[in-house]
Amino acid sequence: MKFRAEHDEFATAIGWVTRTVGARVTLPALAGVLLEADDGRLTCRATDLEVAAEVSVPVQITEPGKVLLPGKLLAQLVARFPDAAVEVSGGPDGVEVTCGRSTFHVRGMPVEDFPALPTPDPDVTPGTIRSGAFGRLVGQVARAAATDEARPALTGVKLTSTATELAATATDAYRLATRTVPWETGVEAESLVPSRALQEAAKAASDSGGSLEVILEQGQATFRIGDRRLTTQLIEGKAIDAKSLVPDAFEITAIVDRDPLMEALQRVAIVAQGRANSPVNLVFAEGSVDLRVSNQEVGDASEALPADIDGEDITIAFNPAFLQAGLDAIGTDRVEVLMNGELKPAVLRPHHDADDEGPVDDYTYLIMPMRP
Amino acid sequence: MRVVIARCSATYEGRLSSTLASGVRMIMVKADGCVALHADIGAYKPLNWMNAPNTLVEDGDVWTVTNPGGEVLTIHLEQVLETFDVALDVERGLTLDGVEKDLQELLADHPHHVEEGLELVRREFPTDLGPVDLLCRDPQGGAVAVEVKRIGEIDGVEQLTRYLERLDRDPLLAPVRGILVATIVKPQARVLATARGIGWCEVDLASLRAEDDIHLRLF
Repeated sequence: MKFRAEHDEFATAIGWVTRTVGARVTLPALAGVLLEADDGRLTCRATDLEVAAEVSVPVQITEPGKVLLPGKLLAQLVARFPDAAVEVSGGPDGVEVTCGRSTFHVRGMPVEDFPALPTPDPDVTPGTIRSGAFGRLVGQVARAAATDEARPALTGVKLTSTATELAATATDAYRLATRTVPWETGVEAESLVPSRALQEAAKAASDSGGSLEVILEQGQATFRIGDRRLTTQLIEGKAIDAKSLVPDAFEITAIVDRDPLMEALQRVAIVAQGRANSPVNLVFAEGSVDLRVSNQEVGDASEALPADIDGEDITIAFNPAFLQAGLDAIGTDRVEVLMNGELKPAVLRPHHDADDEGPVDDYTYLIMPMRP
Repeated sequence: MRVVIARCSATYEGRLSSTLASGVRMIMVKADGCVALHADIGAYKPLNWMNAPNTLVEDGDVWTVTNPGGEVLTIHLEQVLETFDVALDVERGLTLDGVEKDLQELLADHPHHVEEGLELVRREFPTDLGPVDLLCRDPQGGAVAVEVKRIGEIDGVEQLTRYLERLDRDPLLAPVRGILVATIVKPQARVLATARGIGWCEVDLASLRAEDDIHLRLF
């Protein structure tokens, strides 16, 4: 095998694909990245058996071939390469990699040990969505997924697709985020996609721009962005039905300017010192919302902001980090806080004025309060 | 800390008597006044030592270390090979293991599990012997020092005894009561604590955690 690649393309490809290399592997080949040079392109592949990543870039090939190289090592080398073309030559047992005045000899691993990557069913129609819209969707929703593997079904994002819409929902049992966006040519499907894989796909989409194809099928989901493809196994188990959890009506509505609310929350939350059981109390009354945090050891903080309130006065407590995450995901200047009582779930939503001309963002962030 | 490497001999007079023959040893005089004489063997225990508080008098080649109990350690320096002073960092104490750390945080939030009516003043209240886990006030305004252990043993009682002696020197706090808190307090620790007028208390970690969790869930 012998090829020459442009530095930026090679570095970007290796940097992306090695993110999928297994961290703790039982099969040594899973720690590797398979490089295959053929037909004017270099294809790089990696998998941890749950997620598989593949990317191809144009290269000048003198001799086709393939080699399996240690992924983490390759990523570290490439990250430090000078800005010069990269030349790779060798065979399955090892390669010489030169870049500028640097030369490395890297031993290869048995190519035959690398598993075949899953491929999408060509008969399944992919849905298409702008990369930016997909990235935003995932960013807004995936933050509510659980990180604790104790309940695997909560570590995923439910994607529900129709021919014209893609809905994403995630929850960790303390909060739930959901949003629907339009897309093209999708099929009827419902998939529980691991949050980590979805966020990798969103990152690839952000890097590449353009449009993204999403192929949802039995047992796996594939995301195709330009020359990149990411396939992930789906999570088994029943996803939560968001519709049954989000209340249909609210007794109290408050509309607050988002940025001042976030800044005030960040300030008063300092007193909580990151303690999981230090809530921020929101006191909605008389045209204002008063944020209050109290810490027995350190002291307390409060800050009041104007609010348009429709309904009775209420004091409700939230986890400051959960509240911050919900506010951060909302893109409008003003946010609606919808409540039914101090111990019942509340909703954060973007507020759209009647004369707003842009598309309506139906993002919904449901958050459970904390006990006072 | 002052370190002296010297050929020396030593005698100890107190509850027992002992003599250390001449040999090359390391003498440490620590910032808190403790004096220790080490051989080049063993991981931690000195050949002779005198804890603070004590009085060190250097008279030429003879060091005499005396404590309030009348014990005397006498070191005869025959040949000083090396001596230097070095400033070590203030020791916070061993990092709490996960359970102890959890327990301390939970009890800081719910001191009534230690004793009804207790209010937290400060976690890790500093003394020159190290931080006291919890300093609290009882309903009568009295200061209460709480030492938190996963397992309450005699060492914990001794440690709390030292802290109480230190805290009682502060006129704003004295008199200070002590309570040893653990998931299990061993019988010997209970006896020693009671004999010294120190309280003890066993707490259930699982119950504390359940009470502490004020997060409501969607499902």
